[in-house]
Amino acid sequence: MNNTVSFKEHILKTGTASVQEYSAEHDNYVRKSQLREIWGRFCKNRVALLGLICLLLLIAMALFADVIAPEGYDNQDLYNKFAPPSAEHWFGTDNVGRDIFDRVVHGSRISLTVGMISVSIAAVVGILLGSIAGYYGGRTDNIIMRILDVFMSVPGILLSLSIAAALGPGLFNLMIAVGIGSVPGYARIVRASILSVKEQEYIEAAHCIGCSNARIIFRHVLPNCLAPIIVQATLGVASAILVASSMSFLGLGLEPPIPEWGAMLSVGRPYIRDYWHLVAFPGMAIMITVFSLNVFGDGLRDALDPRLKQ
Amino acid sequence: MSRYILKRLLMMIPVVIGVIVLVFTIMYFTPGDPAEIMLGESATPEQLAAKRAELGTDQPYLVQLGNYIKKLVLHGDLGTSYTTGQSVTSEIVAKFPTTFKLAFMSVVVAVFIGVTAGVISATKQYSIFDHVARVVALFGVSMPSFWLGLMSIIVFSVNLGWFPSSGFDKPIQWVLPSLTLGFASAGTIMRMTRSSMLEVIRQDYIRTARSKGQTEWVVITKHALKNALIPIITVAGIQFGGLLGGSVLTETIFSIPGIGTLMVTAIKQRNGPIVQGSVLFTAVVFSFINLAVDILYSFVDPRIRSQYKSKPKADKVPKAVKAGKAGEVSE
Amino acid sequence: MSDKLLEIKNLSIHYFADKTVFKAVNGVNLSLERGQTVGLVGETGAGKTTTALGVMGLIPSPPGKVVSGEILFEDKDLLKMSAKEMRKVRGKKISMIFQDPMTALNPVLTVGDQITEVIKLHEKCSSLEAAAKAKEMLEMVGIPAERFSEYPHQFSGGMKQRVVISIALACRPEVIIADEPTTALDVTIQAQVLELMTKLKKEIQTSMILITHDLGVVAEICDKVAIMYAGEIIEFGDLEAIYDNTAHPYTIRLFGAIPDLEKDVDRLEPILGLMPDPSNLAPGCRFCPRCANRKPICETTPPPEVEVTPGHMVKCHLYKEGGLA
Repeated sequence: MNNTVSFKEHILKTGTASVQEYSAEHDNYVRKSQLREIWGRFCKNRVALLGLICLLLLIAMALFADVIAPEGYDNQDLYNKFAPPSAEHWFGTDNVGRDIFDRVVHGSRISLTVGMISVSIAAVVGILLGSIAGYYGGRTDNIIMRILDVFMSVPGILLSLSIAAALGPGLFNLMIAVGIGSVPGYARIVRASILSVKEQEYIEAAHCIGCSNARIIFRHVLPNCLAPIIVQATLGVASAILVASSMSFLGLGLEPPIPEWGAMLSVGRPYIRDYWHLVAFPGMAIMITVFSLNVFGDGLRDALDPRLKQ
Repeated sequence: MSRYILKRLLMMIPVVIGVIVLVFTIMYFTPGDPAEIMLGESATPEQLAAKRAELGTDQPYLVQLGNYIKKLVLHGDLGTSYTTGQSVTSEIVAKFPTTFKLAFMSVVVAVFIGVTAGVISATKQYSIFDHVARVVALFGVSMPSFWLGLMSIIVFSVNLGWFPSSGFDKPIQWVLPSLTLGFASAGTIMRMTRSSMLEVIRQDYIRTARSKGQTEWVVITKHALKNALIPIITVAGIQFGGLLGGSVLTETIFSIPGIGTLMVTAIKQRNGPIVQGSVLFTAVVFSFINLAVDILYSFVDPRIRSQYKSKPKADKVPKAVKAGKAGEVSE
Repeated sequence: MSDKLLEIKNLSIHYFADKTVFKAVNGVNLSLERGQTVGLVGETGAGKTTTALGVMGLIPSPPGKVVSGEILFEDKDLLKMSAKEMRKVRGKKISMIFQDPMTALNPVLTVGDQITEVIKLHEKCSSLEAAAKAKEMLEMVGIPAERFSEYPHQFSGGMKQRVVISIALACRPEVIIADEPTTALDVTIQAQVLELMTKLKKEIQTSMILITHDLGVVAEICDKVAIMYAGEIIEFGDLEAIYDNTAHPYTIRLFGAIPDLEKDVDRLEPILGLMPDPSNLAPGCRFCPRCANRKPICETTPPPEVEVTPGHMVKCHLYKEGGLA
């Protein structure tokens, strides 16, 4: 009994010998840069990586459309209408004998441009409105958000359709019509992020050293909500391409001979009973593009914010 | 609760007024002279001027807007169609049930497929079913619904001859439109259900339920699903609105006489009152659906219910849930 | 039937993630006699909760897996039971009180529903009878029966824990596993809840495994104590043996980290360092890197279990059968 007690005291007295060695061992890890870490997480997601590769291929196809399909997209051959897919015409020909493969390749330029530019328009306007609303708060916030509520209460495609009707046909008008519907989404993300960031101490510190409001918003607040905006924008390009092709399909976007994929579907639609290839390939092109963007966007979201990963 | 609903209805008024102003403005700037559309190209300048005076389209923007709102509020009058001369309200009321039926059936299809697949995927995470379901869902989200419609016509009506490719009178005609329209939303709902269920399944109260000796089926359906429902309902509600709009395409493809085809034709004919009327009407229906969704929350979650009871101002919870999940929504 | 109601033999539970294996529980031996309360003490991450979940058959799988061992309950191995048989044990024979009452109750069901559920599962009675019993249970844990149809968010933390306790006790189980039942509560509420638990334990004559890191609580209500470290039980014995004849250096230091009002100490003695990473355990004694009394053998060979005095088991190279080495 006594023996044990003295042993106890002994242990308590001889305590701290091993601290130093112990903690040295634990400091021994390498810090990776944040971007690399994100990239590493992204690469682990094989489906997302596949999406990225598809996307890069599509962009390459758009850039080198003239090399891949040197014949151009409006090369009619009336003796060779409705030709089924063959070695010569991979995707067949359409109602005026144009090669569908060539048109699909050239169409990628239009779809990707429309998608990216309309999203850029929407993102810029949305970020501006959201920043102003979130940063200034009060009445400004209220007015902006109520106006955006109005835009949000009209289903997106109907809004885009009516705006397209008012603006008339044309590439740029289509971009605006497609973009407007998604402005509220960006504004809300930015506003929410700003509201949460605004109260934090480093913003207060920026105020204290005399930063202007604009500087605080752009230098200190916005970088903090970059991740959700990038993700939203990627997924936004996907839905913009869908909306744009829907509008062209209805005849309210771009019209033939422009090889817009949706417009190509609209051209092929009367002939679906006999010639499936007129609608199958342009539709597949839309689907693959949108699919890669969606997959890439999902992967990006998981990589940027691992906490959200399921 | 009723106070809350009343408050929400009152809050809808400014939004609806906003939509009226928005849609009216868009149509005001749409090129094309209604008088010319109604009278045709052979009309004399005098006839045109008389018609403009009759329609009131020669008046300034604000006066026209004021007149439009006045007629709408006092008489429920949305104007007359330039092409048929009928009242817009009656045309919309005649067409709306078809569109609503289509959208509703598509939502039912979407919720049924989406929730079932999502729950199975979440409970069997990383199984083969999960992988396949996730890829299919992504394709569903990525596929233009009108293209899916076209392809299903090619396969199921032209080649197999199972279903008719147009019309919307008989139940057999409902199958292809509601399936193709519902499929994309099913993808979105499946993804939301899966992530929401995965979140819930990890919770401690699920472990508590298991520790009682409860069967896995009841643990999933009674304990987990009910907790996972809020984001699912939110997405389903938003999808419903999207489907009301998206039916523009499906109706065109399957030649269904609903609001969608009415509106597309009207846009092409520069038939302003019809366009204004149908967008406005759809927006109002959409707002009501959103209200219904918010009310539904309180049936699902007692915490939200008690918030409505104690202080009617605190409708923050459903809003936050919505905002948080907005990223998941696509057309 | 032996007097041992529950006997865990050589239980190992590992979690498998990507390429790493987290050895959460490694060869645990523990037994519980009828009517006894055993305290399972250890730091966060020592594997206490995993052991408890192992007994309940609730190890999340994947990633968790029982790698080896037996859990004998009334002489039957729980690990060999079918899912269906196991469901009959859970909640009826063995039930568990969870750590955090804030999250342990389903927020969308009334507390009444949640208590009734377990009664209906295990007892042949109508819904009405089950509800009446559930109300009885509520009263028993000191909650007015009128609150039967209220939802968890309408209760305070301490009240929620009472509800959790009433769920666990509703079917008068043979064994209760209480996983840090008071950690998440305010100090004043802690005492009330503990008192309630000991009272009810006596009333329905059940045995209990109390998981905690609070040695004060253990001293108050436990008959036996098991000290757990890095997935192993490194010392086990009667309350007196552990408190008065502490043997294992870790346990000694654990006591050294508690403030004592009666002694005037300049500063508390913390245990330096952290628990070893369960995915990368050393081959020898797990406590060795933090132990001030380690010997060369500690780094290479895991210490055997030795009985220093009858019933007082310790796993340390400093001891041999019957006392100090």
